Amino acid sequence: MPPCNSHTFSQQPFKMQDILNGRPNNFFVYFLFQRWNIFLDSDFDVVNVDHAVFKLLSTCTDRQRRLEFMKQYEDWKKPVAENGLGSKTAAAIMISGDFFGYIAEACELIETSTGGF
Amino acid sequence: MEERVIFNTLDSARKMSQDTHDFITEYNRVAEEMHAVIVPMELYEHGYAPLGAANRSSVARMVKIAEAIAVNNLPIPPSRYVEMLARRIGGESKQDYSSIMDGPKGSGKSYSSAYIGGRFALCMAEIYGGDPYDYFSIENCCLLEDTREIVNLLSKSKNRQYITIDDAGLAVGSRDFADQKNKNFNKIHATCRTKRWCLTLNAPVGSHIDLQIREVVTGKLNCFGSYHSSGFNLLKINSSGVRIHLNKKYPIEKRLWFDKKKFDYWVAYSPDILPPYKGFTKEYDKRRDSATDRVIAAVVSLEELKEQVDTKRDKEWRGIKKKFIPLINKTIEADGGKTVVTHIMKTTGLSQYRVYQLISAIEQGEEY
Repeated sequence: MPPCNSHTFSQQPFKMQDILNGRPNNFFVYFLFQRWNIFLDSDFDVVNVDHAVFKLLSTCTDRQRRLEFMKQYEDWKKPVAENGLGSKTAAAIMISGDFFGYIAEACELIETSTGGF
Repeated sequence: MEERVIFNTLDSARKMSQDTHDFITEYNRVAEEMHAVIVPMELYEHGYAPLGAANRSSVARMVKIAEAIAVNNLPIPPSRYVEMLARRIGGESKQDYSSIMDGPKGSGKSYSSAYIGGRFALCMAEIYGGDPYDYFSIENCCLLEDTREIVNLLSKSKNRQYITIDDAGLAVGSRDFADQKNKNFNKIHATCRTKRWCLTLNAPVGSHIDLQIREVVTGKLNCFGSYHSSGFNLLKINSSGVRIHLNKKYPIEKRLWFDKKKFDYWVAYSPDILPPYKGFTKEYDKRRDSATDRVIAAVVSLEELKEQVDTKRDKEWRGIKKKFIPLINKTIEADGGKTVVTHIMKTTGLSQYRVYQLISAIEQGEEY
């Protein structure tokens, strides 16, 4: 996976394709990025990110894996809370590479939509 | 403005010219710079667009892609559904295809089925040769017709044609399930396989169509999103069948499945987008308006006829009046001009309700 950290994220214009290149089901991550992009520009809100992440993980079809991901996310979120909700540091942690490592893994188990013409 | 490219089959899309490929790539490059929607190349390579998580946002993504293709004159991607229809109808195994399309009134069922018909005709012409009009034209559309007209049209239709029956509830409504006309239509429907037609029946609610037809159709289409200003509708397409277990019937509906992918949404543009069918909607609307006038005139004349016809109940009522009014008049005279209902009931043997009806008829001076 290409590097994905707070520095990459703060680059303008945002090179979405560089980060998502070659990743299956990249719309989920795209969705999350879109959310964070807004938060970083204005007021970062962990509650909203929480909502986005849970919305993502709740669509995971494998129940066991979903619970694992949820637990992993909760563990991982602790330092974010210690840094204070709404801070830029919290945002930087949330978009660290580790987090996306398992989000990408979760994405492969999520039920997806397909459209035709 | 150059004519829009339409890919009828997956093979033709995969073998697209370098110019077309460059045109799409250039659009995507500019779209990326402008943060606009990107048209996924999977649409041209595999016939599907990955829409991400199965939530409401996926509908919005599909709409944006369809809009981008329509507005920017991008090539129409190949349709896996239409290609499946064409290969089924034209293939060696003698199969037909019939489907029901439902959706709210004014949601675009007619145009959507005409678009599918147009694409089917183009696809058939490309694979098996011939002119698209050999497979679908406005003559293959039944607009608000009764069973007799539909049967006439079907008898004229050639083999391997796409036929759409608009407002099928009118011709084969579930309320007239035991009528001779429904039985006749069922007989005609049974010949579809031999004729190898691709038949689509439109109705606002699927259950308005005769049950026997509903049970044997191969596909169910639902028009669930209307984007008329952008010139397309969103459809959901399911395969349909009935499983019989222990003398009970269980309807089965499944999403269509291609390349191990379940397709959730389908885009149906206006048939005008297809070059051979330009102006189709205008002609269709004209014919539909005249069909509406015809139906209204038929209903009015039927109502008038109903008023003129002497029903069984009318005859019975006349007989009762003829028999009992002289007797009632005599009883009233015998009672000194007083109307004693109980006395009249005794002399005539009629019920109180009937006596009051007859007294009312006498007071109003009805003939008998």
